[in-house]
Amino acid sequence: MSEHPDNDLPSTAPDPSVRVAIIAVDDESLSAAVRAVERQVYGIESITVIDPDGVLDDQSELEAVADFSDFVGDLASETDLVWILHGDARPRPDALGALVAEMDRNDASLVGSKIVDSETLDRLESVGSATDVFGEPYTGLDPEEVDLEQYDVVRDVAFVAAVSMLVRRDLLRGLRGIDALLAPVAAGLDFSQRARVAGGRVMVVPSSEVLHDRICREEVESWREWAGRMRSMLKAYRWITLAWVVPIGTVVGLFDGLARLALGTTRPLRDFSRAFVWNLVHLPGSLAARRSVHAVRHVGDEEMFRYQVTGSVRLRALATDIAERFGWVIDDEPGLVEEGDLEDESTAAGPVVVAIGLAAVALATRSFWAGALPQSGFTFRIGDPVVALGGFAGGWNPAGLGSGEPIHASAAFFGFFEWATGGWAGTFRIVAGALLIAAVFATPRLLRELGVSGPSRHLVGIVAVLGVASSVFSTGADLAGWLSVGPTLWTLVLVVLPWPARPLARIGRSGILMVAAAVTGMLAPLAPVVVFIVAVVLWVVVPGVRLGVAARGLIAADIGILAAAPYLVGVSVDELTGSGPAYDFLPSLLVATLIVGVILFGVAFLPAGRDRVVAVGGALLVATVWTPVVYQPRGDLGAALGVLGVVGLVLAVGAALGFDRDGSRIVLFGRGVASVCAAALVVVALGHVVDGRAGFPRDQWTDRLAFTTSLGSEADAARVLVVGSPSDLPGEHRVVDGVSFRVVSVGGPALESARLGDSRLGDEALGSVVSAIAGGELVRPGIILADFGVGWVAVIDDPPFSAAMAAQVDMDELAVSEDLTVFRNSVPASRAIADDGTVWEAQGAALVGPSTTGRVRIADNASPGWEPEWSQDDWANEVSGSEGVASYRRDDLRRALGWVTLTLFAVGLVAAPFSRRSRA
Amino acid sequence: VTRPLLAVALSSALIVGWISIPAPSPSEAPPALEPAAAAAAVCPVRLDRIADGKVTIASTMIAPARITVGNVGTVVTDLAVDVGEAGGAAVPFADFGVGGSSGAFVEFGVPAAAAASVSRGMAGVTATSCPTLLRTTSVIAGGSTRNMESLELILSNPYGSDAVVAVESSSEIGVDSVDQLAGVVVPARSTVTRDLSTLLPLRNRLSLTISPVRGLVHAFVHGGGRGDRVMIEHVAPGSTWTAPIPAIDGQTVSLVIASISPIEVTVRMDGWFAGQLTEGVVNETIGPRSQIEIPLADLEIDLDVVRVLSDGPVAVSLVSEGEAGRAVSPANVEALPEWLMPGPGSPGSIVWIGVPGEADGVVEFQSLAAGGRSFVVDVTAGELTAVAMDDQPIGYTLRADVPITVLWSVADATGLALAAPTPLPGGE
Repeated sequence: MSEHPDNDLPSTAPDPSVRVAIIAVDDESLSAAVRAVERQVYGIESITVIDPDGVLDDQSELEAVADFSDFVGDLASETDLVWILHGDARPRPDALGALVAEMDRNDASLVGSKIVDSETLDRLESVGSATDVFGEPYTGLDPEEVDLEQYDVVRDVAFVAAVSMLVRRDLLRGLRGIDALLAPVAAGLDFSQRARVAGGRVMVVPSSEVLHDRICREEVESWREWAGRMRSMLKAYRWITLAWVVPIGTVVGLFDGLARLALGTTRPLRDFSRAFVWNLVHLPGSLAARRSVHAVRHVGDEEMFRYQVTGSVRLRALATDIAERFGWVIDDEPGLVEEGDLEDESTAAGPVVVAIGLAAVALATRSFWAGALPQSGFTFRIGDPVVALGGFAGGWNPAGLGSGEPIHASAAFFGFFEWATGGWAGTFRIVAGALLIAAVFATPRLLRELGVSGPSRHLVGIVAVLGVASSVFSTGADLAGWLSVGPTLWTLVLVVLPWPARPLARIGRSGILMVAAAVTGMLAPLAPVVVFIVAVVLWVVVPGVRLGVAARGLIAADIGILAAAPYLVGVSVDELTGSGPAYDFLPSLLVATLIVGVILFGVAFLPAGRDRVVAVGGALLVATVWTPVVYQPRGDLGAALGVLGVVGLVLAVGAALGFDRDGSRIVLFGRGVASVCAAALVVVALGHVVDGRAGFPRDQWTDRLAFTTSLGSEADAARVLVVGSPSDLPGEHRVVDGVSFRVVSVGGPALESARLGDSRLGDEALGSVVSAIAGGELVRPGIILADFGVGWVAVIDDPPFSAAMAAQVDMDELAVSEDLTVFRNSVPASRAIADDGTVWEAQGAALVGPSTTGRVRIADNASPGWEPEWSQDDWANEVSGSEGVASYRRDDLRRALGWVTLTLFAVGLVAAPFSRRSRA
Repeated sequence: VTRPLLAVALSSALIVGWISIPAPSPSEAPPALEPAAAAAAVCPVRLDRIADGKVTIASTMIAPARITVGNVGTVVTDLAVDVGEAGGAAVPFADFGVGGSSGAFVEFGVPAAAAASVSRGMAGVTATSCPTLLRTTSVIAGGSTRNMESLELILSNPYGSDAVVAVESSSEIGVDSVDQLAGVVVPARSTVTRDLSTLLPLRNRLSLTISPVRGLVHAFVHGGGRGDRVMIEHVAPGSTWTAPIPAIDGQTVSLVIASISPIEVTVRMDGWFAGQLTEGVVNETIGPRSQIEIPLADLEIDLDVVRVLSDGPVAVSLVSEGEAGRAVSPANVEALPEWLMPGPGSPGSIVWIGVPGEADGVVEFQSLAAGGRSFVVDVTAGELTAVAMDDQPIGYTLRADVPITVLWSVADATGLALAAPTPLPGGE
């Protein structure tokens, strides 16, 4: 094989000798490749098979090496050029001759062939390529573009395909051959870039035509190519270029991955992640290879930039892909995502997308877990779990000046866990975290039960927790209301799920439903009604939803309301509808526009079934938005309405999210708009990631009143009168003559005391005192406030009240903080004090002190439930001190209902495991 | 058929439900109250080796009062004062147990009450009406730091909050500025003094503007030298002032008008002489935050009663100087028919009544001392009436059938003092 055939090379120099290195892919194609090489017009020196995988038949007479570096090391000085060829390539007879001739004529160091698909014989695979700065190839070819010799120009390119490359021996030795770790295309790119950095000229020679079976690419996962391109960048670029290419490339990769996730495919994000990790693992090797490139570097990165396209090929492809799905053609760029990528990958993608949702929620609420619970509005830690539970089930409610009104069910719910864990500080966070996670997981499940498929539905968990959802509840800082979204959605899931046939499974399902509904009721006592409303609407509107769903919705609502009954039977309608946290139901213009887009285009263009789900969600949303325009409901009604809106949002967005490619252009367009609007709502929801509090107010009360216990007062004062603007006050407040105020216990506000209830005698009296102080009428307010057990006055950003307090003589102003003006009562103030001056202290819900023959005055709102021997002292209470304890007689009905609540949970938790057993 | 029917039923139920939900009450809070002054006042107390005095309390009803004196943050004196049936009481300075300058915080049992502080000694006589709380910028006009004179600023804070005040001054040389007075800290239940004769020496007429930065104080100046003492309380600036002009032999009277306005203020002084009103006796313009002095002796007519009208906030003081001594008192804000006048109670006390109107009237004097006398005095429109007090009462309640303007003076061999009574609430 050493004879030199006739050729067109100038005769002034001897023909360069060429060795051929064939990289084996499989045995069958290798034989074809060897035969094709042997048929070359241009004579070759020898053929060596690079066979790392051992595909070569043992009987073969071909020279073979396992490693490319061995081949490079064995190259004799007589060899001028090396033709590197894939084993699945079949060069035309004149291919090598053309390569040698053009290399010589153009003084190139590395030349590549035109690669044509061997099946069609005319479909172009590669005629050299440009790249973007991130190494993304830009072929300039249409996916099915036919070779009409339209690219047959010898030219410099960024890289040539590794399928057929002719390289100078010295360059090949200097570059230490092809990187065996890289996938085929990336290997060509990597080698070409290194050749260029070494000062070589890289060209494509279209007259050298090679047919390619593409077997080499069959088993290569797409992420390997991406990983190879990253490694190629790391090896070839200077540090200064890497300093901006790597971070920007990472952002581009992530953005592309997330965007395509919204479009219904998870592969780009997964590929990027895997490629990123692969490069991290192989970073030492990449750095070593980088050093070897540096040793032969002759030119700067600018030389590579000359053959690169501007911008990001990946982002251009993304834009093209989106445009295609809208039915528009704004660019002829081929999409990177192929048809196969767009298939429903819900099974595989589900965990990934849910993980993304959880990560987003975790990020958005990071200050909840990493720092202190942001205590403000109606979000507080439990002060005394026993008081919370007792006050819920008929006991004394210590909020403000106290009352017999029930403590809110949510305080009892969290109080139970606090009590069960012995007051462990992390309890609240664990329970809250579990409820948020429940919301994230509930949404895809609910949507699936309603016939909405696709991985995109997993993203809706973000919408259920963040964005509009948290905006509604964060206005009044109602954490419990926010957390009720999760159990509400799970209750709905359980209501919508087909009722199991087996008795044991039914028991289990009933148990789970009981627990979910009861939790819903405890967190937002009117939210169970939402379950019933949604269930009925789904039954009415959505095909396939049976009457049983509505029936189960009714049962679930009953259970939820029954669980919260000790609270519900004790509060007035006004309390349920007009007091407590305020909610902001009116979305911003942007969000409203997106919601309208989801509803209009979703209903009009989505497939049957999903359009109905969007309709249900839209109806719930519209109702949620319009009702407050008239009524501005607060408290429990407001919370339930908020939950209704969030459920509506979940249904509408979940059903609209995800593209459907079937249909006419106009249908595609409509679905695209609905999906883009839905995706935008997901993105808007992610905006709450920024502050780490999911939009909830900053922490205002953690340790803010700690000075009341550390500094103490003249006596062990029980209460702090807090005055300030309504938004700054903890929980509910009262207003008199323009002054907003409330009373909290020393040490700070607690969840069980956040809601004040109806105003009573003592509250009215205290209001009069506050009014007199604000009016500058009282020179000695301390002595009067001491009657209320108020040992401190804390004024938050209320200059008029601070000014009024500046003109009194029996409360000392203390410098505590810039935003808090504090006055310490110089008059002893106690909640309970005996005739003999002995102070009685609170122990749980009771007051205890030394036995006395006299009376004990309790500075709480007058209520005949106090004992023993209660009598009224103006607005306060007096009891006999003979027993050394004063307690409040619990309401029998509410106590009984409290046991019912406990029983519901107990029965539910006992029955729930049967569901799993029956499945097993 | 069932589903649409149920849809309609559900929608109807929701609509009925929503309609039946009571609309919440408006959440907009009413505007905050502007705090008023409580029924309390602060009297300047200056107890030293050469002077003693008393705080006198006048009340329209029998209601116990309480006097507390704070020193360096703590209450050192807390006295319950019984106000007798006649409505008056007097507490000697010595009962307060505090030397030097301080402020006695007097809490009245009823809003219609007033107090005054009178000091006597070898160095002179002072008389001051005890001011109630002033929450905004106040003015002390009529002081001086001439050669051989001392002037001390007394800032008393009887309250539970520390106070910071900014004090500005003006004199015949214009607006003064002293850094040491720019932010004076007055701790709670304490009195702080500043020597103005050192900080602002050689001012013939010195007026002070006291602006609270935070907290609240009661301000006075105490002057000494030239054979007499003066004590001047701060007043709130206004746009109308009136006063009778005490006619004391050997004394000349000047009006000092101090403006706190950041722009020029036009002032017109009207006067009554022999029952005749002369408008525009003096028309002047006061520069921003400046003062003017109007020596009444330089006018062509001897005025019995004056009225000052301005188009900006000013304070007016009468300064009487001469052989009898030196006395300064703020003018009355307006002429009213009823006054509480604690204080005048020793020989040489004279009540000066002017009628800045066109109708004659009678003034009923009701003594505040147990067993004290009541009597009636005729007053003539546009003229000055002097009523000598020689039965040593604690003070008087004055009730007239016409608006009157009132000052009282007390004089002895050591000096002269001039003070204004307190208008009775609702006594217009």
